Amino acid sequence: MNTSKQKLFLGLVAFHLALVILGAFQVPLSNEVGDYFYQMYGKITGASSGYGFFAPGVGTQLRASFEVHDTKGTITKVPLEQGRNREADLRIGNIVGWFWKDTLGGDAPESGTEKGATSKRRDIQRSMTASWAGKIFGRYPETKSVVVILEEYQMPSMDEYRKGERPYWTKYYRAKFEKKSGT
Amino acid sequence: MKRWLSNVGPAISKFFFAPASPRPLAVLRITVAATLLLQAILIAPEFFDFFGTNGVLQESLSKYFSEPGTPRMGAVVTFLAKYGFSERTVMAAAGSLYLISLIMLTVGAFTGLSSVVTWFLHWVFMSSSYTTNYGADVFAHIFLFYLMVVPCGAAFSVDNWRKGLPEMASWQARLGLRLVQFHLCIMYLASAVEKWPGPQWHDGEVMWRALNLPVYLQFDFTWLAQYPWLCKLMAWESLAVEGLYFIFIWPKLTRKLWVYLVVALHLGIALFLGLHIFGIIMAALTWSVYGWSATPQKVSQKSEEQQTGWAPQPLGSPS
Repeated sequence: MNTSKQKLFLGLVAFHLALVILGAFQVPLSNEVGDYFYQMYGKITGASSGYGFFAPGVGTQLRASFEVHDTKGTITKVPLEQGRNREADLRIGNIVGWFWKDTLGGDAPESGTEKGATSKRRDIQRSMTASWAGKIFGRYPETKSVVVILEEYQMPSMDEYRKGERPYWTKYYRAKFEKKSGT
Repeated sequence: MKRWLSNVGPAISKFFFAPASPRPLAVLRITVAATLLLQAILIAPEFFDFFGTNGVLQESLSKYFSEPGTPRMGAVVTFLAKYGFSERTVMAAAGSLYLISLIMLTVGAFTGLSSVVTWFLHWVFMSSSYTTNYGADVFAHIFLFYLMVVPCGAAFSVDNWRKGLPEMASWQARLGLRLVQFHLCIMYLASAVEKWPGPQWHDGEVMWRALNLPVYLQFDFTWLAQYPWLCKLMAWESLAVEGLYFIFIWPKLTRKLWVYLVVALHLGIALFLGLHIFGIIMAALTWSVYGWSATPQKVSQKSEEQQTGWAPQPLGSPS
């Protein structure tokens, strides 16, 4: 025989797990109010999380590097990652990865390219690279200008690799930022 | 039929409420908190770059990308600035408090309070640097929430030692354990279902790409191109371990094997893809709640019989 307290807690567990199932299988709620509360509950508990890691497959990678032009005319190429440890560098890579996400804002009309992207998307991307360039200006005070270079990794399939193709980086985006005089 | 039905109720009741040892939940607490402590130490040198208003992403952008309605560091900084606190002071205080709460949670000191503080600060940091997040953070958030509501401090804890309490089995530990166990089953099934339509998972290309992309590259695995069957085998093995988890993790006969397979899978991810924190935390989840016996050592003196209908004796219940 179960106490009413046990029944109440079992009900709460069942309710929570039902929401976990909705989140895990990305089942949308048709009721607007219900969806609002579900989203809020999901943010607090993590119940609305999806688990599609490496699904449906592994894509490619975007990397950011910076050409640092100093006042003496020297050009140095540096990464955004500081190389302190794997966890920190992984997180920097995640930030860079947001640059080409569909969920960035605005539209990316052609998958895998930025051709014809809306002005909103371009503005956000420009702001992102400006923010990264600002970090580089901070790290290297003698810098006159910074060129942000984003490159996409072209990965051959196993079959292509056996036939002699090799991976390489292609230019994806480039932007130059000058230090304002007096700053 | 009637007799069968009359047996179902008590069996379900036993499955969810038979007093369980708090040890699996305590191990969950220790492993999750200790892994997050390690993560915090690794991130600490970049703390202001990730979470500060003048970080790698400036505050306006960071706010734009964050989930609406979640607590953010920027809001706390702005609020406390009115009272003369600098951003660095506020952030250093929040970061220090997070470290202290993680240490307390790991050792089980003031477990109730430290679990709440840890969960909340982890959420704040996660929301404040949304673009840096990945799977490890998602799972940490989920399981830190569970640590607040299950009796994870009832074993292997300073609290027990301080109060002179022995480990007590309880129905709360059993129900909490079931909650976490079911969540893991749902998670692995959903993960396999999402992977299944991907052609890369069928021909093994997913392993080739993951092991050779610069972001995950730890060792030279280009030789795998000569052995596509090996990639295919690894991909199908991962799908099988995840997709059949909810079946084979329950029977005593297969449980140990599945725990080993899951732990090996995640330690493999940690080692060969360099996702150290993710791999450790995922391996720890299954290892703690399925790898540790929940068979009670001692049952509470507070007449468990009255609460559950079972006499306080060692139980051979499903653990």
